This record gives sequence, structure tokens and C-alpha cells, in this order.
Amino acid sequence: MTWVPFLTVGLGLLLALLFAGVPVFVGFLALNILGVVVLMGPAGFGLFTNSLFETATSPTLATVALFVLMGEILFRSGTVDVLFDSIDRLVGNLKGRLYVVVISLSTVFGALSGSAVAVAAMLGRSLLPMMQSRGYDAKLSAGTVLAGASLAPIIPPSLLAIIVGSLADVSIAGLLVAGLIPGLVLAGLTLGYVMLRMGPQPEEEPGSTQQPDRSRIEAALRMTPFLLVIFSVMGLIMLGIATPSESAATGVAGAVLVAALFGRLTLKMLSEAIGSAVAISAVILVIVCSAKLFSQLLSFTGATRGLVSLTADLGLGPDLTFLVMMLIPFVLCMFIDQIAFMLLAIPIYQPIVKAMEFDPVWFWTLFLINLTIGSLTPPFGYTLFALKGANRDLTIAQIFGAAWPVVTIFLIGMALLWAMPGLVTFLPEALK
Amino acid sequence: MSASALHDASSRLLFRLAGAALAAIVVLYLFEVSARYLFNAPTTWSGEVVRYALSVLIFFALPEITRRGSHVAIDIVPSVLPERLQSALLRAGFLLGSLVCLGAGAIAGREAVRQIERGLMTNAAHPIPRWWITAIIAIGLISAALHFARNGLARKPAA
Repeated sequence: MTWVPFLTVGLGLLLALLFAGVPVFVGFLALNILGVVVLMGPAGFGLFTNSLFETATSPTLATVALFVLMGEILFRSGTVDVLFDSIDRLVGNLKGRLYVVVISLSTVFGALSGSAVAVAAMLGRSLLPMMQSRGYDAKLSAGTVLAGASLAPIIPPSLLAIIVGSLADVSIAGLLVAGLIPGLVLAGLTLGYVMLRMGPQPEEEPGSTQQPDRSRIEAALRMTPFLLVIFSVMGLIMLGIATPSESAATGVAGAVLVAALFGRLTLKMLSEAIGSAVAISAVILVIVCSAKLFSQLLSFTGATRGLVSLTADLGLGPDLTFLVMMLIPFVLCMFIDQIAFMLLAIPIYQPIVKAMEFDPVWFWTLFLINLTIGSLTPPFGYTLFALKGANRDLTIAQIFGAAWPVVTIFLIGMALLWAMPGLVTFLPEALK
Repeated sequence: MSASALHDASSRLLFRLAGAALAAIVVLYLFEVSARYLFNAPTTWSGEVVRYALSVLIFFALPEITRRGSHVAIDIVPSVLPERLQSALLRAGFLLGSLVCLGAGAIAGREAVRQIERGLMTNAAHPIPRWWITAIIAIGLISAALHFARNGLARKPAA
């Protein structure tokens, strides 16, 4: 149980540093260096450097930078305005319709990218400023973006689902398809929450006018070039032509083409988009690099394994075991990288899932949703930092405030999926 | 040109290289997809170059984002403190950032020297000296450490 003091002191130190306002990546790096010195001495410096090296050269992280760049091009070229205005006209004069638009758009973007961090960064840079300028509630706007972004690892195609499938020896196709209904349920719950916040009375929204039918047809036509971006990402993955990382690059090419089609492609715009994308993604990726090192130390001291083993040794019934098995990733994924956690936990969870006779597709889908909730739970969720990094106008307090209702909505969604497993297993069963 | 102006200029230059690395990642992926599906000629090197370009993107951008003060921090507690205490905490944070980045950069630099001595190469189809990437990490961290130190020692630290 040597991991207990390490975990207690380590987390205490990290919390103290972060709440003192130290940059997040510095907090993780400080703990990391200290941990290496205390646990391994100078002999651990090689491991420390190697961990930075491996993380900084992980091709999946390139996807984050590429999707941020795609968003920057769409935003800086003004083409996102076209999409936003078109959907705005099509949705009509509903109360709170821009929140509906944002949830729909972020669901689409989320479904395209598979990375909550990338989508939060992209939407935080592109759609959120537009909402802020139109006078929308800052917290609710940020909340809708966080919720939409958090659908990315759930709705297919999902990178995390592919990793879980390959590690847990579960049908990857089944796991991917299983995410569709839960993703839509969570999107629906978020919409329901927005409607509740808006109240029952129809009311004019800022910047809204009732549109004639002709204007709506025109709006629909103006949206068609965006099918190119969707095809460049989703289409090429579905056709098996590009991997998710490659499809992020083809998405960038699609965004460039759309900008050109609307006559808004300039070298200046491209250069600014690249500069901004580098700044945003470097802020995010440096945190990811530092957090990965922390998870390695947790693993080295046996803390992660110890916590998981403790659950198995408790001898609880299936329902309580399920609860504990979900509680561990919920807490740990506030602090550490989801992929790192999965690599450690899945081999240990797998025999417990079998022993408890949980449906594997159902269990791992809920596990996946849970990891996503962990990354949007204050104070350390990655998705929150991604949004803060992308949108300087939002304070961290506003983002935290926006995250709690989303966390609650997702937990309600999980409870629903736990009570009605058919929502998860129906599609995979139907496709068998 | 003063030492601080030179440092700022070097940070801007590294940032431009990070931008070039991002552009290269896009081009390399597009090239790979085209080579594989249009010409049935997948490459063995483009994925490796993308990995190295990513390290350039992250660690060559680090000094400039540190200079700009763009890092994410949880400012809930500092924002409610009196101005003098807030400033002192900010300064302490910068100095700690400097110390930590300098330490991490020194560790990476020492490791780069060790990799040169041992002639270590990357584990890839087309290996390159491993220290090239480790040096990029060390340069980024040490330059960021200098920016943190400059900000921490400044008469009025920039938030």
C-alpha cells in the first residue's frame, strides 16, 4: 500500500499548486519531477524524458491540432457564420434556438472528430464568440458547447470506442454502433435542459427575425458546400480511405475548399489560422504531455492498479460493483488522461466484467461515457481546459459553473442507460 | 539588440517553425492518403515525419505561448485575493514555472547528451537520432523557463 501516501501527498500538492494559480502544465510537471526524484532518484530521469518524448510524438495528438486548425479556417474565413446563419434561419424563431443550433452543430462536429478536447477547442474558438457577441448567456452557451463536445467520444466514429474495443476484446463495430443511441439520448437530455432553462413562453431571441420560405430554401442551399467538409472527415473514414488522424487533415483541406468556394480564401487568413491553431493546440497538448507523465507515476507506485484491485477485493454484488467500477474512472479521469487510464484499467476490469456477467458492449459503452464525464468534471477535466484555452473571454469560474449541469445531465443519462440496457444493446444486436 | 529582445525574437522564430510543422502535418497526411488510395503506393516515412513534426509543434510553440501568458491556470483563488497578494502569488507562480521548466529542460538536455553518447536512434522504419527530438523538448522548456523568470522578476508581472 505504498501508493496511499504517494497519492495523498501528490494530489494534495497538485491541488495546492493549481489553486494557487500555477499554470496547469507546470503543476503536473512539478509533481512529476518531484515524484521521479523521490521514487526513483536520478535513475528515473530517463523515464521522465522518455515519457515526454513518447507523448509529444503520439500521432493521435496531431488530430487535436488538425481539428483546431479546421475550426480556425472555418471561423476566420467567415464560413462558420454562413453555416450558423443558415441553420439559424432553418430552425426558425424558437425561443433559445441558438442553443439548439449549437447543440446540433456541436453534435455534428463531435460526431466528426471523436475527440472532446478537439471539439471543445474548435467550438470555443468559432461558435462561442458568435454567441457571446449576440448576447447569449455565457454559462449556458459554454455548457452547450461542453455537452456537444462530450458527445464526440460517444457518437460514432469514436477513437476511444476503438481503443476500448481492441483492449477489452469486444466487437469494435458493435461498440461503435452502440454509442449512437446513448449519444442521441444525451443530446436530447441537453436540449431538454436548455428548454427548461428557457421557460415555456416563446420569446424573441437576439438577432432573430421570422424568415420566409424562400429565404429558408436559400439558407439550405448555402449550407451544401459544408457537406464537403463532412464528407472529407466522416465520408473518408466510413469508406475506409483515411484513418481518423488523416481524416482530420482532409477535413482541413475540405475547410480550405469551402473557404475558397465562398471566395474567402486568402493567404493572410490561412497564416493567421495556422498561428492561432498552433497557439491553442500547444496550450492543450502541453497539458496532455504533462498529465501523461503523472499517470505513469501513478502506475509506477501501483496507485491506479491498487485502487482498481481494491474494488475487486470488496466482494460487493453486481450493482454495487458496477457503481464502484464507474466511480474509479469518474474520479481518476478528472486528473489523468483517458487513454492512459484505459490502458491500465481495462485488463483489470475485464475479468470482473466477465465474473459479474455484465453485457460487455453495455458495460464498456457506459465506461466510455463515464471517462468522458470525468474529462468534463471540475476542477481538472481536460475538456474544460481546452475550452478555456480556446476562449479567453470565459473565466475558469464560468466554465466550471457551466460544466456542473452538463455533468449532472450526463450522469442522469448514464442512470437511464443503466436502467434500460436495451438503449445501448439494441443496435448492436440488430446488426448481428 | 538586448538579450531580452533576442530571446523574444527567437521565441517568435520557434513559433513560426511550429506553424510550419502544423502545415507539414496537413500536407503529409494528404500526401499519404493520396499515395495510398490514388497511386496504391503507401509510404513508410510520412507517419514518422508527422510524429516528429508534432513534437516541433508543441515544444517550439511553448516559449511564445509562455511569453504571451496564454497558459491555462485555475484563477479562482487568486482572483478573490487583495491586489498585492494576488501579484505576489502571480510572481511566485512564474518563478516556480521557471524553476520547474528549467529542471525539466535540464533533465531533457542531459538525456539528449546521453543519447548522443550512446548513438540512440528512434524506433522507426527510417530511424533518426533520438536526441534531435529530445533537444527540441529541452530547447522549448528552457526557453519557456526564461520567459517565466523574466515575467516573475519584472517590476509588474503580466497576468
